[in-house]
Amino acid sequence: MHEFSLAQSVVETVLQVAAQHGASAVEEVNLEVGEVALVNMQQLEWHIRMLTQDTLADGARLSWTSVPATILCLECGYQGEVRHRELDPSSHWEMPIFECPACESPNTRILSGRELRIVDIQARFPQEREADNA
Amino acid sequence: MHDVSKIYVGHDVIEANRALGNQNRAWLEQRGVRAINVMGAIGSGKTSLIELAIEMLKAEVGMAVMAGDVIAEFDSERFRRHGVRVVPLNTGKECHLDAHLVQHGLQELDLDGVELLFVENVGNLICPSDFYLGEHLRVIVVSVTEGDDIVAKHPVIFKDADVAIVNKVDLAELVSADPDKMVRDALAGVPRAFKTSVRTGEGIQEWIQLVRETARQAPGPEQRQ
Repeated sequence: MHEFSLAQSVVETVLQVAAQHGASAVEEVNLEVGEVALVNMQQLEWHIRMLTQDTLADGARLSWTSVPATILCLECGYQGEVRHRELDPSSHWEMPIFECPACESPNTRILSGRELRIVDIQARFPQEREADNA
Repeated sequence: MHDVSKIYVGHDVIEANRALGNQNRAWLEQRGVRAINVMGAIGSGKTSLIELAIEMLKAEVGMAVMAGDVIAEFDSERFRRHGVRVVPLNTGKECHLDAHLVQHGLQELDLDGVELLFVENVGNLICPSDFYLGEHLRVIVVSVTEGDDIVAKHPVIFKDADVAIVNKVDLAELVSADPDKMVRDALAGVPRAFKTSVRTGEGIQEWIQLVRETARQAPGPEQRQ
């Protein structure tokens, strides 16, 4: 259940940023989620919804884009996306293979795909503050 | 009428934890301490392996333990019997340690005379993976009783580790598990993997040597990204 603590961190940041900018409500939260960050998005979404109740972000839409896992091969220098193992379609994710697709070496380093980044939020501002935020 | 606009945030939650982990690492290094994050499945033998290392090395290496668990008192008591300083890290509902919790633990822990800190993570092969704590060595322990496909099922946590240990190999036949397959699967992700049995002593020298080497490791930034 580490989605709960991740959701807490996301909500904390979103509320803080919204308050700093004088927003009256948060309408949307956009995330980038690395494919090998072990985050179940349904759970994360549920926790965020619970944690934002009665806050500025109550009812905010959550949208996210997935960041593919990329690796650098320390043997042959390959840099690019990982391969995936084909699994039963009912699986929640495609299992990444971290060996180099070019030379099969396991000596690779993950370059991207571990993120849980709050990219931006869509916020609403009271009309009288419009000028401040234009 | 309301004005709606986009606010750029650009805050990565995983990265924020990593930054705290780096602070922990710097704190430890200023005090001449190296840390081993011992991760692994529930009941894989993490506590027993740490106890054994403490018992075999306590004459030559100053050690302390941070015992992370949903209720940390059980393991803490086991470690205290070996005469080392222990900080229990109760995670309650949480399934992993994060750098923030470890930071609090470090503030409570007297590191005077300590050269090596064991951080025993919560038994879990998924959640701890995303959370760097500031350790110098990340060890992942699994045992044959979890089934010999346990490694293949959890590629991410093995990719994140430095060393994998396949424990309880004395029981392999009883549970029809192939420990060599587990080692092979682990080597797809980690640079080093070996088999151990706390009962028969198989592989224990390699474990002890690894702990000893880590205690003597030169300071510096984390190598693994």
